[in-house]
Amino acid sequence: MLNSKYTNWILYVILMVAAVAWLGWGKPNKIVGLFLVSGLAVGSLYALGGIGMVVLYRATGVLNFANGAAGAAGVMTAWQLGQWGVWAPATWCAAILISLAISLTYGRFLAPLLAWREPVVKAVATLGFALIVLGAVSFLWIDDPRRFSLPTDKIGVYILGMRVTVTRLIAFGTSVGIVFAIWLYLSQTTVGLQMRALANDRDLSALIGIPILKVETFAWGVSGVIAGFTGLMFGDLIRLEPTVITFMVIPSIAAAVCGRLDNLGIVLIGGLSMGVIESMLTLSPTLKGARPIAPFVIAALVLLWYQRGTRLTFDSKD
Amino acid sequence: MRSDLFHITPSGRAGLLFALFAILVVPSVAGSQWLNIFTSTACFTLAVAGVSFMYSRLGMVSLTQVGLMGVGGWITLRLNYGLGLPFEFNLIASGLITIVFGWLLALPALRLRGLYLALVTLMAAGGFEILFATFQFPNGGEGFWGVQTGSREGFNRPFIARSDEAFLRYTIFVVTLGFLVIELHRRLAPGRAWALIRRSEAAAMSAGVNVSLYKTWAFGISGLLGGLAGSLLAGSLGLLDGGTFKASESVMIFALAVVGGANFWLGAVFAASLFRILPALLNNWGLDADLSLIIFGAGLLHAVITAPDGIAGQLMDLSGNLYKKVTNRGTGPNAGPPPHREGISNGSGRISRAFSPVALRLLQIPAHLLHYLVGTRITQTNPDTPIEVKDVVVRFGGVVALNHISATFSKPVSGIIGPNGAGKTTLMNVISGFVATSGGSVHAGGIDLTALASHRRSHWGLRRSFQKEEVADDLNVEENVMAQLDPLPFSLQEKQDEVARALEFVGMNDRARKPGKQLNSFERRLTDVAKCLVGRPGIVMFDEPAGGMSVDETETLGSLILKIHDYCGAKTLVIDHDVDLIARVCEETLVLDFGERIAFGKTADVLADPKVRAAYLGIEEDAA
Amino acid sequence: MRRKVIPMVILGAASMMFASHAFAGPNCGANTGTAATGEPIIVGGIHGNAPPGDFSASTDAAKAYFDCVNANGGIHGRPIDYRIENDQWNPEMAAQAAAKLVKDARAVALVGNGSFIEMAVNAGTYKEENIMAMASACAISECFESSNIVSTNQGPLPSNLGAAQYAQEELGSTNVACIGFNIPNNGPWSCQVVIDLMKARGGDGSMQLLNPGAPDVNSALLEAISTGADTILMNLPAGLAIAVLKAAEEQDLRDSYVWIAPTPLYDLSVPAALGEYWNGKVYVNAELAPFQMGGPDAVNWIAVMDAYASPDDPRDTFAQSGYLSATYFVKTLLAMDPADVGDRAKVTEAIKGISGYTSDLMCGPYYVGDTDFHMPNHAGFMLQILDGGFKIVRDCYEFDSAYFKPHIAVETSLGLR
Repeated sequence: MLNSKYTNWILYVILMVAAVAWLGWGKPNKIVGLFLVSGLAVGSLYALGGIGMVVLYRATGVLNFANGAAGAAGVMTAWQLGQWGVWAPATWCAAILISLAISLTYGRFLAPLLAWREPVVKAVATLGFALIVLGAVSFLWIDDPRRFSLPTDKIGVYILGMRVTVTRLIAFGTSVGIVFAIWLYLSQTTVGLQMRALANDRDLSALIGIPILKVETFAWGVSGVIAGFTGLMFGDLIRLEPTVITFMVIPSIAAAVCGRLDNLGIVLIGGLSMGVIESMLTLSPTLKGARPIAPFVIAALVLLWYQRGTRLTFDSKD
Repeated sequence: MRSDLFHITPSGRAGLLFALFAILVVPSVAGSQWLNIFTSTACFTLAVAGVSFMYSRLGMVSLTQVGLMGVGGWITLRLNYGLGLPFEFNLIASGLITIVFGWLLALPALRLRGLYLALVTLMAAGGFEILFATFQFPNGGEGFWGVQTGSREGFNRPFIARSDEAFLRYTIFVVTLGFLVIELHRRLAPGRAWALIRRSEAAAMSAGVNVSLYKTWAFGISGLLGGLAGSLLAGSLGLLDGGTFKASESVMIFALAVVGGANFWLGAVFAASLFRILPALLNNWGLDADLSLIIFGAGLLHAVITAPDGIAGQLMDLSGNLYKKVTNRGTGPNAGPPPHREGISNGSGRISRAFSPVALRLLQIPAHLLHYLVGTRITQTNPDTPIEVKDVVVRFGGVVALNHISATFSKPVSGIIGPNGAGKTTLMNVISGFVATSGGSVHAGGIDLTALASHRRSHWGLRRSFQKEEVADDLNVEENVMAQLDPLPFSLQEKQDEVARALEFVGMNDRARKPGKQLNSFERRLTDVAKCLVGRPGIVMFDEPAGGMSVDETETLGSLILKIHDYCGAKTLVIDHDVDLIARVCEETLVLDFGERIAFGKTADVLADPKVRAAYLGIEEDAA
Repeated sequence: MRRKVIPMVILGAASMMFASHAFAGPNCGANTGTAATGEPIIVGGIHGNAPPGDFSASTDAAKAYFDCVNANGGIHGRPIDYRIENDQWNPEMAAQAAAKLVKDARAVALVGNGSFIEMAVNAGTYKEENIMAMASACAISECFESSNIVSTNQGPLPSNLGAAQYAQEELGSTNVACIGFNIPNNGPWSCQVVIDLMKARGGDGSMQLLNPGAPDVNSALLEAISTGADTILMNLPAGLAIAVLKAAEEQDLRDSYVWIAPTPLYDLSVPAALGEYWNGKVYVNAELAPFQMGGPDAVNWIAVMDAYASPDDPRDTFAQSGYLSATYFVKTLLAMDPADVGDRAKVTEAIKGISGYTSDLMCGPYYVGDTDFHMPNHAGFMLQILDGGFKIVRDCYEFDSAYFKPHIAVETSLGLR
């Protein structure tokens, strides 16, 4: 067991180094560096999206497609408040509060109606909710080119001769920080323990008296806050466009699939790797056109790797 | 006598009338803008049908449909502008090539189920979106990708459908054909196999269904419909743009398929209308088309939470009730069957009997070909040899579920007992091939069963039931039993006779046409038993057949089990907690406890064994 | 269109009445000062407004001018019923819009069209239905290479060419990276001529294509940089071009490259949106006369916009172009026999006969002609973003490309050269 784990990691490191070296070969270091930084920023967003989904999925069994829509609603609110001249930090808080509220609304009022259905039905239901939120957001803010920027865009740090904005550093730092914080939380606190119990076996947890509603609400809250933050970052770094932000859940899912909807550390590493590979592919003249497909190809390969040597069987529960 | 294969149900008739109306009347009265809208709607109806049947028939969520449409459209445009081929050829070629793409998409489906499968199809949709955006559609340019950077010549529509009106008629005609393809599948072996897969893949395998094959086939059909839809859309516009085939649109199509009612033909029409007509109406009324998203979303939530049959289901209920009221008052007992839950949804179609030998034979050809290819010709060599379980080991992670179990079952009926978690069902799963072993083998009839895939064991003659009765809701009793025979190389007449005989044996012949979802648990159990008796079984295994049954029902079951060997020569293995039942029907019994064999022998002896009494019956003997 | 137009029109009308005392009011059509009341003449307009770009400026401006004409005697007393559809960058919607306007409403002509998709879908329909589209914000090849579409604007091909030509001649550019949409008849079509021009002049060029559905400008920018270019040409709508410049600012790339753009970036709000960082560093080609030139049409355009358009409607090159198309259309109709102005065939014939219309907004004369290609406007201005505005750095100049040979031949035959 332990051996194969190390083999996986060594293989991963070798593959990543090989890919980056192959793509970056013969290019000036500064160019490779720019792509690496840009890739890490995009990858952090994939990872953040994936982490928000996995945290919720582990605790509640719901894969929430509405995470992106909640983030979109949040960042659009922040933009609107900014247009009205509201103090910037207040607009950011408003963004996170809006996503939190959207997430909790679904978690408290709609999710319980589907508590005992199969995971795929629960996921499909969140699609419906995502469409409602997206429809409302698109209705309130008609299509227009907009920009959302944070004051940190103007602040740059020079790393190895490249200017890196603080926003990118925040996106990267937060994704790493969140994984660490959640790991700490799950291992150190009672609610964390209860969340792990719930992830392990719902029925049993209910029987031994774990306050499911409380724990689930907490999970919805955490994922809502992460969604709000991801939305802010996405709106700033990529694009302020509700539909695009809503469907950023698709590459996020690729990151989540890398961690088998379970392991946050792998979700983080998977997301970052996807971002970096996608960005580095720009340097390949043949592959640059199709580079956004990288997350899906990587996720498919990872799935195949997980599935190697197994066949579809049924455990005794089936 | 009229065949049910070609039987048209009242709702089917309504659907065909609707199609006829759409072909004859709509194009003549619609304005030019609405002709365009209706043509798009018709194309998407076909695409939705591809998603709907996957969801309603197999319970599989496919979120790639619009991507497959794009593939079909791409091929049509490529053939049209690159080679100048006629539209009919392009249409068929697009459909066929898209089938292959559907099959490729099915590859992950062979190893993944449920949520993971949905996620993989969603990622595939994302991949298609990017490929289309990168390589663009061949709207009349040079080179393999055929992207056009200058002006282009016109698109060759079919020569019988050059005008917009005619093209709408043409589209509706193709869409109707597409529906008939699904309907034909539903009424033949693939439909029965899909119904079993939807119910439970384990049950399907144990009924001899090659699950991989039929799942792949379903993806292929879905791809065919998507490809045809894309091809028609290309024909309607003459060019395509990547923006039409985004992953988000695939998601929307799936959502609308559920809202419209995935179980019904009309559901697909409703879904496509919501997708294309509603936004156009909102636009015409000066409202924001984004409002339609809110309607879609709310509809999806409503459908998922409270109305699984969607709009079409609710309409059918409504019209069914009305119809009942009308017929009760009016025509009396001679009225036809109520249209309630008919059409695509229920398995009211009878298995074809004597009708139209030619057409039926023709339809059987692909089935026979399929059987030839996947090989269902194994038959048991010697049914009277014992079932030999040798040294079987099963580990789940660190837990040893079966520890070197050996037993030779040679009597007509044998039992396996033991407390919960003893490994009884695991042993049965080993024999069925559902659980991978770490060692050991199972031989019967001179064949090593462990070397065969699950469905091949069923072809060989292994039958089993599960703790839960695995009767497909979508099929009636007769069809449920027939599904077990579908993969086997008997003639249709033989199969029908055997189904009838088995149903008579279990006493269900008077309820042969009763839909699965209307059966009570005892009827389901009897249907399960009948399924185990057809197709010359060698081994029949029952996992807790008396669970949840009344005393009378258990009595009946026991008598049936005792008669099985005389009926078909099969050996029977029974797991049950009901010691009285075991004592009554089993000559020999194996006792397991925590994965260990603690006793095996004549049932009376075994039950008297102190070790058994200690472990199983909870009576602690003094360790004197 | 989802803007709240009606209150704005009332507001505009009110301000017009007020304005008419202070200044000379807008000058429209027959300029009678009385509203037209006859049987309406149906005219259509199709724009594309959806992510990633809003191309409604041209139809907004055309609508403003037609409103003004209707308030001033209309066409021989008949008002113009101008109907605008949005194709939402979607081919199905584009086909529906054309079917609605051309086949169902039987419009006599289309005026002010601006889109990335509509012309490609509908060029065949227009030819079949024998209707002319006097477009104003064309962006794709079909718009300039088909028989029944003529556009007042140049489209990206000449405008890119003009920008690259200027950069090569004046700013020392040797290698131009053209960032455009991956829409074959837009991005590749219009970037390729720039590469050809640079190669013909001993330099080099490349194109970086963005997915219009999910444009990731930062990657495209980095891609452009990795080719070794010294000049970045942003062949994109204004919003995305600004996004490219913002991304460059974040990475402090300003001083290593020359930054040029075709006409979409010529919008008075752009210098403020870019900020101090870019002052004097961005060069923009303008297809029509810059606003400060102040000829009679330039003044009248602003007057019409102020009086009849919403204050939110953009005042950019595409608005000028929409206005200009509308004035040419009205001029053509007014010159026709009053009995024929409702007859599509006659109107099409009259439009095809346009030759030698001039305006201070355009460098050269406007003409149509009965050809399979139309690009009357292929000369422009070069501007520099400076001190919150635009400075003219080169006046009307012709662009150097073999692409224009057939056009020049037609102009010669019409006696316009």
